[in-house]
Amino acid sequence: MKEALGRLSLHAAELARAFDASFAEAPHDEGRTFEDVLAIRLGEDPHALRLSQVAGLFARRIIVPVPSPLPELLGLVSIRAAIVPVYDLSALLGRPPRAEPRWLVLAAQAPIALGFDELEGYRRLSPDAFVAAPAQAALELVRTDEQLRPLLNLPQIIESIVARAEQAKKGKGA
Amino acid sequence: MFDNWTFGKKVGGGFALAGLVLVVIAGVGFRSTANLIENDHLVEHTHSVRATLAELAALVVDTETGTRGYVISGDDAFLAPYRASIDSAKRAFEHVRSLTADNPVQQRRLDVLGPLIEQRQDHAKRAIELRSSTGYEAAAKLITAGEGRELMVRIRNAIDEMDGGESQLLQQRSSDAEAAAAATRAVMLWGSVLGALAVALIGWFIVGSLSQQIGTAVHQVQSSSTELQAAANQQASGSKEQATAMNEITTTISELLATSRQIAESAQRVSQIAEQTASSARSGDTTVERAHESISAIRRQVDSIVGHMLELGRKSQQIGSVLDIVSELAEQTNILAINATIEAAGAGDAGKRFAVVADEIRKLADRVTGSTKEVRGLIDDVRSAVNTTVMATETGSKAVDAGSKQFGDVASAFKQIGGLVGTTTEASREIELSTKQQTSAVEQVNVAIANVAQATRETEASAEQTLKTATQLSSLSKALLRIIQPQVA
Repeated sequence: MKEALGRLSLHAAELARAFDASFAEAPHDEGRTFEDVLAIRLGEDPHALRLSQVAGLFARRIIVPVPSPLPELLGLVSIRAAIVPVYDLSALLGRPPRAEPRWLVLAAQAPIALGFDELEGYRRLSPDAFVAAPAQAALELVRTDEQLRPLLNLPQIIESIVARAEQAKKGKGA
Repeated sequence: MFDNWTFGKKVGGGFALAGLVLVVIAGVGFRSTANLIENDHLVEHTHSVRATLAELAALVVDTETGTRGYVISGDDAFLAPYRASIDSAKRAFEHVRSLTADNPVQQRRLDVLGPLIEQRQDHAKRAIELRSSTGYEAAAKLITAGEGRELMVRIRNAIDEMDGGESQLLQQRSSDAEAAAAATRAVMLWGSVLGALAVALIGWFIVGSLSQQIGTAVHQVQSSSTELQAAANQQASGSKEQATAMNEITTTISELLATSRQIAESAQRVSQIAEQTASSARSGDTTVERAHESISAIRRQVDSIVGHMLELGRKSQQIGSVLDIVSELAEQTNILAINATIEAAGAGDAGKRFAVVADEIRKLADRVTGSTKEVRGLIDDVRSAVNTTVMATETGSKAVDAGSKQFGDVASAFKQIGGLVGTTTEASREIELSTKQQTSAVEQVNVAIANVAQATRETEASAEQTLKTATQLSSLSKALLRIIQPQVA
């Protein structure tokens, strides 16, 4: 216990030192190419999202359910003074639906939010961390934390949602 | 009937019967002798009556003789017999009347004789008076007239008649006396014979009966003396065995005495050890009470520790709450940093420096998140340790409670041990005292056994003496049997 507390004190001191150093040192990432991703977890399975395809990340937002022919639609949520529909990312990927996901990402492509269970963290990856799946060329994988995880194509998912919504609207209008 | 009589009864009965025969014979003889004496007295009485009658007749003759002499001579000297016979005749007459008072026939004869004597005395008196007054002639004439002679004849006849009656009585009484004497002789003779026969018969009977009875008794005495000999032999041998047993008992009692002394010494040692144990138990009781007080202090300390631990748990919980806030702030910071990064990326080159800051903030938030996780792990460890400590402390508290209770039990056990040791001390003292008393009693028993052994030796000697006496008694009974029943012996 005493050793752990000592270690914790060292961590705090290192944290303060690094935080102070970040303002003292010159930016050292100039000229390098990075790709930022969000490591998430759907159920027990790890996934990743490109940060460039995300317009915002939110947590513990109140989702107001609304009637919808799409079972993946969880409801509506208020983000930055705008009413945004929230879809269950697990249900969209064919997994068991989640009633109230803790995390939401706002897609950069359209004002549509996707809910998922857990955010593992922010990762800044080099290009060599991105690999193509050997069986399916369309599916891209990303290596984070010494493991490969599927990199979700958020614009494609948004397009499929829009397509299904329009299809549902058409079906409803017909 | 007589077989059941005792020796004394038979002898007494025999002597009583012989005495009775002698008493009968003596009684009959006494009666015969008394009759004989009475007859003798009667005969003497009759002789006295006859002598008095003869005296009376002589006095009457003296009266006549004196009168005649005076008449013839006229001399007063001849009147002396006359004067003497007057009163003597009266006395003799009264004497005869008294002697024959039991004979009515003689009394009637005296009634006739008395007046005749008085008439004769009157006649004499008249003759004397005539002689003195008128002289011889008148007096002689009166005398010769024959009145005096006739009175004398009648007086003589009356006296003779009375004397004849007394003579008849004398004869009768003589014959009675002879008969009584003969009866007395017969009684003496036959009574002696019968008494001798009765005494002989009684003696023969008593001798026979007593010989038989004494013989039987002697036989029994002989048999009993034989049995007594056997019993004396057995008693002598038994006394020897008893003497041997007494010696063994004496040896055993000596060993018992030594054992009792050892027990007394052991009991004394037990008493000393019990006293030491009681002292140790009291010391142990004090120690246990101190330990109990220490355990109570430990219990209070444990309670305090439990309180502190629970407080520590609550504090760590509060830290956890604060950490939740910090974690949430870090998460929000991370979200903000990510969103800032997104916004900076959208701002193009103008947002690059902002992206750097946002990245640093995000890194800081990541590190804070990691640190909060680590702190949470530490807090969890602390809480787990606190819980473990609390549980261990509660277990220790329970153990302390159990220990306290056990110490209480130990204390009560020590008190009980102290009481039991006290009881043991008293019991060991009682055992010591009882063993000493037992030792004293065993010594007394030893002395008594020695006395009994001495008595046994004396009994053995007495048995031998009894054997000798029984042998002598057997010989004596045989000798007595030879004396009583020689044909048997």
